Amino acid sequence: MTAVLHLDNVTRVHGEGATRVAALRGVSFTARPGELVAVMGPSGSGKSTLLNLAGGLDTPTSGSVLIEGVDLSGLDVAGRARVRRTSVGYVFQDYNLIPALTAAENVALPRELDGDSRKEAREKAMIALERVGIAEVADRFPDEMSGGQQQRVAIARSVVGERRLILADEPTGALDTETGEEVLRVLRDFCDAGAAGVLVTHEARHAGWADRVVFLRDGLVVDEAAASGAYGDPLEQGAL
Amino acid sequence: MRWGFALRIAARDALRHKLRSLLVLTMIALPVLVVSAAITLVVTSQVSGQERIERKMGAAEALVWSEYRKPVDQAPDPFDWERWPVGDRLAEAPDLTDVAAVLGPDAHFVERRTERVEVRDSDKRLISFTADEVDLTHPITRGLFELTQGRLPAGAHEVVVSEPSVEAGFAIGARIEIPGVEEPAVVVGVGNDATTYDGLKVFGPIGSLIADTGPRNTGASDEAPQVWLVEGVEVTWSDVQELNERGFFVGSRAVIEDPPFASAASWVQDATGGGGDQAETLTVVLLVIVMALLEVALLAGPAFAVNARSQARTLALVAMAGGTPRQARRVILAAGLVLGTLATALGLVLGVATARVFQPLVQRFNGEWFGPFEVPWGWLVPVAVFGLLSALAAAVVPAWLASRQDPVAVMAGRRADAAPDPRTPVLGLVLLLIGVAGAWFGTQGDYTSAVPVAASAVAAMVGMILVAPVLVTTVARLARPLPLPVRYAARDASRHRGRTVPAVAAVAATVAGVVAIGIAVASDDKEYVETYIYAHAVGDGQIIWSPEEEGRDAEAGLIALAEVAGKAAPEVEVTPMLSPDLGEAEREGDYVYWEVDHDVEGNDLGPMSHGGGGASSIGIAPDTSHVYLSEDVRERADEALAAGRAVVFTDQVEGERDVVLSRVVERDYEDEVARTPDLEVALPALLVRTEGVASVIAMLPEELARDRGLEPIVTGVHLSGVADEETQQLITKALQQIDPTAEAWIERGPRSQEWQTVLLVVAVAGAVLMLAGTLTATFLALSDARPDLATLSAVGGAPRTRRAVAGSYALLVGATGAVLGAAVGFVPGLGMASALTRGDLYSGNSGPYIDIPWLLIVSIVVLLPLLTAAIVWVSARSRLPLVTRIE
Repeated sequence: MTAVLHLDNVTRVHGEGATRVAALRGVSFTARPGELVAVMGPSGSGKSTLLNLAGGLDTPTSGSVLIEGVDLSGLDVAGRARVRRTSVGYVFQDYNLIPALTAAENVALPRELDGDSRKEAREKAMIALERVGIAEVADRFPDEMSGGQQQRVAIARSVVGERRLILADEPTGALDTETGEEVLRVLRDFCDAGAAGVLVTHEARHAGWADRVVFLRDGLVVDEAAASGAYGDPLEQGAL
Repeated sequence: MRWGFALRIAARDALRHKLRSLLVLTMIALPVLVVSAAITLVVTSQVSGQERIERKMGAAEALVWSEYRKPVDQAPDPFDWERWPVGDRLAEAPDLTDVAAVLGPDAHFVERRTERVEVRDSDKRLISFTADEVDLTHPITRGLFELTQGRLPAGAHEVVVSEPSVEAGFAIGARIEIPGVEEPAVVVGVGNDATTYDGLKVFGPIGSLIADTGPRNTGASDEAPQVWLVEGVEVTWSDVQELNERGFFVGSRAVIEDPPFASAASWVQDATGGGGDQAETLTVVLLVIVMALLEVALLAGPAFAVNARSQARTLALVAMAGGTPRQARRVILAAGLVLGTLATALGLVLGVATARVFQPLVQRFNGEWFGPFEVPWGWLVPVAVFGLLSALAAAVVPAWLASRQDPVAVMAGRRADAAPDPRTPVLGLVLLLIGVAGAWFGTQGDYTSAVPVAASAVAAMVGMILVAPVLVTTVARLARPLPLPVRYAARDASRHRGRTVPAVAAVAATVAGVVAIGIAVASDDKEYVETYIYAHAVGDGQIIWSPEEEGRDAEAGLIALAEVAGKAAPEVEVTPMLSPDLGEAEREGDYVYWEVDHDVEGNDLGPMSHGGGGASSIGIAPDTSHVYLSEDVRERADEALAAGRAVVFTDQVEGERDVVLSRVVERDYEDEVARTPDLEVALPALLVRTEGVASVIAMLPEELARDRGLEPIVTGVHLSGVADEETQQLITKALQQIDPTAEAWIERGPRSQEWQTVLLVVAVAGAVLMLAGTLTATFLALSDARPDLATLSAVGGAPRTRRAVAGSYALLVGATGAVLGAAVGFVPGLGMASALTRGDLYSGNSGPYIDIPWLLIVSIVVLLPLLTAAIVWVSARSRLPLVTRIE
């Protein structure tokens, strides 16, 4: 099966001379359809750099990043932006919804950016909101929603349309335990439905929702293992 | 992403940040308001040809009059001086029979005569009125006068007056006594003249107001034209042309309402061969518009920078969701579009409303009645486009900077701006050099060319904006040894050029404008002071008056005035001044004067001094004590006069020789002047060169004058030692007891206070703008730097540190902008000064006079930034509010 995301021997160096820091060093990484991969590691290990490279927000110093078989290094800024609109969705710890837009408009954002009419984009946004179970808050602004609702909107935004790669950076960091688990369940459901997911997290219990766990330290992949709670709800399987 | 989405975000953002939106709205709307109000008032004040028909000719079909005893040419609408004489003098003075011959037997005429007259009031003072003799009861005159009190004249000696005349003491029942008119008239009504608003006017039947002075339409330049209102026939364009050939101008209702040409203006242009300078004028107007656009854009720029900064996270999210830099730019540009549209609409509506409200007030300063209130959409639409373009231009740089931001850095909370493009400052320097070269080039040659000067100003301004980022970075480097708050502020300003540069550019643009205007105004004043022609020594002067008689007939009156002046102020030395009598040479329509311009061998003596301020250009006196001269010239002139020779003041030749004093009769036919010397007298003379000009052409001793048959008469009264204006007013008051036209005129030297007032207004306006730009940027910086300031506080920084950082930031933005702006302001400033003060064909190539108002410039560059920093220091909060999370 073709990988949705494939990092091939990727190195990313920041700065020059004395300030030179290698955030990633020869990392190879794959996420396939239906697979949720957790990335764990201490601060400064290269987790966020990996996500930025995976979404085309940053470019590798060497190596290549392929999304659905397309090498991002061959694309310009606009080309990489197009890949983000059509193939990649981000979910952040702080939700990062645009305060001036309603929930539906936030979700519709990638589609409108891609040229869909407002009506078409809203229709697709409503489907995504229904999939995360909060269609009733579609016309609320972010400051009128709870944290859990906001994060579900963010997930809906990351999958709206036909996008098949979800990059989640500590998506439960600002949520209470119960709400966090609900959000991870939604993420898992999307992967089960055929999307590929990358979940950056500090917490082992959250990694339990993943199929595989990749451990990063000092920019290197130091270990890779099947998640302890693979293919099931870790709460039910006693992972905690 | 379509524009709709960007506009939606912009509109909602504008609503969410009302104060910031209001700031931008004000910046854009204010110039639009001022310009649209001014245009509306100007257009309303203009009276169209159609509107003027009623005012000028009432219900008549046409108005016919003669001004020159020559064939004439005119535009279809001949008012506003679009008329002129052509061809040779007519053998016979134009007469009504000529008009009747052209218009046929059906034409009926109502005569109208207008002339300035002196009306004697109850205190026997003479007050100047415009007398209009016309039968206001005739239906043809309906619309010429609107009666508000009383009734229209019914008899030969009844008149009506304009409303301002009532305030001058001529209410209903008052007597109108005019010297030369046998029987006084009585005021029976008051009203408004159709044309003039504030003039003293009196209307009466023919023969009631204007003394019969003999034949009319002689072509003399000082003669009031005779006018006929025509009824009974429609006057066609061919009638107009035929009457033109017979020496008549015609304002025809039919022709004005339906002109024979598509554009009367183009006809005038073709007829006069005008329009040669239009391309240059248009270019300059366009460049001025571009400059204004740039100024408004620069002033509104910081506000959009605030907007872009506050939307940084939104734009980063747009980028993460797949938005391109172009789409990010659209979000900020949409803000310019939304706020610009709103501001323009607001400015236009308020501008038109302001014009409506101020119309009565402005009418008071305008002698002619305004036309009906008119909203000139043809002019207002370009103004609206200008406002919108200003807003978009203001948003362009912030939008461009916002689109270059690194979304990863923004999402991670890092706020550094993208590195500047190294080509930008180079381009800026090139443009600055082009600006300097253009200004230099524009002021070379005999006459200043406005286009290169204006273009250089625009180039310099744009170059300045492009150089600003490098300057900000350099300042940060130079701040290394300075105390922490200044060092921090400088580095923060440099790191966040996205918000610093618009503020620095706004301050620089303001300062450049103030410096440019300052240099231009100060130089103009310097030219005025240095080329000022003294008519007398300061404190000396003369009696000026308008006698009804000339020459010897006026002498007695002048001597009487001299006596009155002497009694009114005994400390003032009053000296009657003598000149050669012009005799009976003066004839109707002629101008007679003395001239010395060549010697007996016909050699040209060069430019003469003029008789500025003197009653006569030739003085007869034993010495030069009452003439304004430099001391060395005076000594030599007095010696020559004592030796019995004349003294002639020239600008070129010196030495002793025999000169010719000519009495010249000048006959003025408007477009040509016939000069005939009718008396020539040879005089032994000393020619002396004067620096500048003396108040007389020549002086001669009394014995010499009498010897040559030149009879001395009193033609002026010299006043010496009028120390203050109170004494001057005292003398004037005494003089006017016997002649209301007389007054004491005293030389006070050049008065140059006016330019200082202009500069003060410019400086205050500039200071306010500078303050606004700096404060906006500073408080934005403080808001932006909140995490750093919190850290500063956490590690033990005192509350005053925050104030110090704020003050330092304001000082840096203000001083950097002021220094840059002052330097750039010299380019248009020197260009304008050169254009204003370079001599022309008439004044000679004496300029340019350049004066740099250093006090103003130093105040702006040093004091204003300090003042701004002090204001920020005082108003900045010393403690941060507690926040749970900093975004």
